[in-house]
Amino acid sequence: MTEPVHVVRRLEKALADDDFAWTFVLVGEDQTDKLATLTGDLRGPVSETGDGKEITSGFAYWGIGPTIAWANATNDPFYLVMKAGTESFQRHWRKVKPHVDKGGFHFVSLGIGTGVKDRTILEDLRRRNPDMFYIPVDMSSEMLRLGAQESVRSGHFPITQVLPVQIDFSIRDNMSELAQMLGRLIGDEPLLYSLTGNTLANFDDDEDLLQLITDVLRPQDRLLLEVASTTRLDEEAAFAAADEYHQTRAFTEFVTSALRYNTDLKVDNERIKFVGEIEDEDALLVKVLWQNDTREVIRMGLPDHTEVVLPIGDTIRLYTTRKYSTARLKRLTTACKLTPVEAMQSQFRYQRRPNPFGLELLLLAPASSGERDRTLADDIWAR
Amino acid sequence: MRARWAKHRRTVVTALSYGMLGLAFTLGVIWFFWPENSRWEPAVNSLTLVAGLTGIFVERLTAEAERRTEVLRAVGDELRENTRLLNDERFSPQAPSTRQIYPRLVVSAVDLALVSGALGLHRDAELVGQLHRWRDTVNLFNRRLDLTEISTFSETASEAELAAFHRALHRPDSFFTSTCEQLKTLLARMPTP
Repeated sequence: MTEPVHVVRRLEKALADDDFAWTFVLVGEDQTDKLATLTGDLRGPVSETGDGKEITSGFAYWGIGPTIAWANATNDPFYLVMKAGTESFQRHWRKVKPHVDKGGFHFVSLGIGTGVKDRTILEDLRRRNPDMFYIPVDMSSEMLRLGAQESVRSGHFPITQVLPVQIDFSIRDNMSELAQMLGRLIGDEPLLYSLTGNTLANFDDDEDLLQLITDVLRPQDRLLLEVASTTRLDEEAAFAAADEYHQTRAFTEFVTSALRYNTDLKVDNERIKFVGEIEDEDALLVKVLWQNDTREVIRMGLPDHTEVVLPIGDTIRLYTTRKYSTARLKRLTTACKLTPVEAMQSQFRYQRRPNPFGLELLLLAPASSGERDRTLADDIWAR
Repeated sequence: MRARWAKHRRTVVTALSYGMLGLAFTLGVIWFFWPENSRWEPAVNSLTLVAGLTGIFVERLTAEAERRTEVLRAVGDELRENTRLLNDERFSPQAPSTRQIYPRLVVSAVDLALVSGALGLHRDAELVGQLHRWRDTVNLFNRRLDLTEISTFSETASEAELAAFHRALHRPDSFFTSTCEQLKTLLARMPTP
């Protein structure tokens, strides 16, 4: 008696030459748990500084509403930082690329975003390793589908070598399970993980997130990290950092979309505050808050049909982001025992006056890789 | 083919000159005992005259060969001196990670060899190419030593940075390692003067 053929093995044939826009996604979590988490986060304590109720990083992109809002924000011609970021990534990646050219890497994209950066990376990696796998990971299946349209369909990457995974990678167990599954899938071949688009800055505890990613890196793996950078750490720079996000209406629509989509709160853009502050003397922290600055208590309905009372002055943190100084990045990489193999930084140049803000792209290796921090001495004595 | 001819032409021209002189001498002795044959004289004179002419080339070729020998000897000595410098204790992996003035590699004999014209155009073509590359390597090596000293003697240089320079110098893929390998290869390929 012949053994039954698994559906996954048959799927490749079944989807071949099918014009219908199927998306194959591996779902790693029960979505009701995620809804419960979101509801729990929105029941936080009362705070006038955005440290009580909040929508944590992944939930800002979770669901079709926030995904559409995100797509609109990225296509907004007035969102200059997004445009400048995409352009600077191309320059930075050209410098980083030689370090991953010879490895035969597979690519794990943590937070797929628009897929434009993934497409650039995939084009170069596939030239060296035509059999490579592309594993975009995101908490939102809608984001996975949106991003893959650019990185896979527009980039003509073979759909049979793509495995989108819907999972919240900021949870330690999830990341660990994902790494184990990838290990079984590709064996000892190296993985290039990427965390681009300043995603690291969206998490309350950025060091914890970086550490849990570092923990799954094997000696042969590398991490591509892109963060927003600042050369100044003062009140004026903090205000300018907050104002950078405030300038674009499409971005405001995006940050409020999770609240509109998951609650019955009538969101007035006038109540959205962009607060910039200096964090730990080595980074600028920008909090985007909804604040009840009316003269009455507001009641907000949650997805589980319960209500939360929002007293006068109470806030909901909608989005968190940062701009990192070189010292903060050094502190983060040292704490996580990551070695910078290559680092590229450039300032934004879309303004006439000097701009302290820019983007930095780092290729990081785990301590177990034997790679050492590249010093001035190494540069002088390089062959 | 041209390189082989350049290598043996002095031997050929010398053998020809001495051969003709020897033959002229033999004919002269025969002429002395049997003077009745009037054709001995032009034969001896012609051989002597041609031997005299080729003798000029023998002299010139001998002078060139001596100059080449001297140049190769000087370059060989300089390369051995550079080997000694690279084995200096200041370049040793066991040397302490402290600030120091490093000895510089010398390249004057190589410079002289390249401008003297003593090395043959065809015969030493490969060697000339290697010496040009070695000269570039020495200049880059010495420049790196300058930068190392400038960096390590600055007031802000920490112990960790001094250790980093020491480590960078002795990395398997460092410029120091490749310079040592290039010198070793060049010495092995140097023709015997």
